[in-house]
Amino acid sequence: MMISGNALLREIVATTLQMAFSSSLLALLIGVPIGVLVANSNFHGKKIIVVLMRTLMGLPPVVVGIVIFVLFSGTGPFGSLRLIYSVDLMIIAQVCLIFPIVAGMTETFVSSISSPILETAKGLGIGKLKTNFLTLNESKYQIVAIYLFAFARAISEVGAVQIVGGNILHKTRVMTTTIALNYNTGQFTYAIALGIILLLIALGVNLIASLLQRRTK
Amino acid sequence: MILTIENLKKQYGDKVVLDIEKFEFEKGLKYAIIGANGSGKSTLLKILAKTDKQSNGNFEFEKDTAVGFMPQHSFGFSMSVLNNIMLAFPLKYKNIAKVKTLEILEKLMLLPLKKKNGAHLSGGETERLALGRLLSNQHDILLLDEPTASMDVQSAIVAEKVLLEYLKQNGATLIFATHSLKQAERIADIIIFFANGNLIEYGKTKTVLNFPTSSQLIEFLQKA
Repeated sequence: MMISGNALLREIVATTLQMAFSSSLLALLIGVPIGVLVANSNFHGKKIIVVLMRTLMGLPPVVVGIVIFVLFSGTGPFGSLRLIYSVDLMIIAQVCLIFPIVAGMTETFVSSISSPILETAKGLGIGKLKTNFLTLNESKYQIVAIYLFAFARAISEVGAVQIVGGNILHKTRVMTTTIALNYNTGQFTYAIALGIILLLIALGVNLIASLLQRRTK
Repeated sequence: MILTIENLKKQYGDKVVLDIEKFEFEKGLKYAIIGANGSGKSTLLKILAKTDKQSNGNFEFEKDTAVGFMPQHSFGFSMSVLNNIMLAFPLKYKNIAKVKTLEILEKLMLLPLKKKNGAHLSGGETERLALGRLLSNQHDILLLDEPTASMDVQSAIVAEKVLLEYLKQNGATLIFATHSLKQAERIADIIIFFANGNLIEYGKTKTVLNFPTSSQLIEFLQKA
């Protein structure tokens, strides 16, 4: 299967990549600004927000899946959007799971480097927005690493996507849900072969990210 | 007066690290703050630059005073030296920014490094970069925390020359912390001596250095 490939495998890999890239990039776009803003700001209740952010980093995927399922099911408040059992909803669930991790990791890193940046920027009379962009620029090496983590989480997650996507053939079936299905039906060889393909994809993304990181140094 | 300080206090728990009853800074003068490590020099400058907050008391700059601050640990952003300086220019001067930046780089002997990453400079080079970045903008008062601490003697002399030229051109006031009495003597009109967070003695540079009155300053000068 791995060497010859087939149409179904290609379709599952494509759906997996679509979901993993979209959700990890969206999580990055939401999580990084939140992390930078929280790290660079001083406000009442900041410590509570940081604790909350770090707590959300441990969100259980199955719980997120169930909550998203209830919200978007036919009788739920967003049921009219008809997103249930779609790749779009799988992406939404993944973003909900991953962006707190991205925000938490960004906040932790930026807090450790922000002091001289903030002092320098303030001393030069540079405004808050530009200061945040400068901080972002100083964090780009770590942001690539955070993205890798987000992508790894997105591509390997099974609980939430199984619940909101339903593992529907030719529609929402991704590699992890296929592996789980193969395991349930006793097709271990297929399950392990898919697992190896998943690892190879992760390796490919890591290699690209490493090249990007080298350029940011 | 360009700056007035009243009952300014900074403490961490019970430990008082800065306690100044009253002090006024006259416009256009150059003030050197001297004192041992932990005497309160950096704390005062950070509070005045609003990168730290006082526990009590107040300070007030003359209306519309543009304040520039160079922290003790200079920072080079991860971009070229040229862009490091240019980012300090206000948008309205963008068209002349590059020419001005090149002028500053040349004055501070940084021109050969203009394409080098600001984060990869040596300590002394980073300080020259930080000074150049600060001087590329117009300030009424400069707060410099040990601005040449990591520079070699030649670079420090060049930096001082550029700084003095800037102060003269802009009629700006200077308050700087230094461990070099020679530098204080070369630059300052007024010397302020700090010990244990307190302002112990101040006066004209030559008077303070040659005729100290407090036992703490006498001891400090003997050890220096």
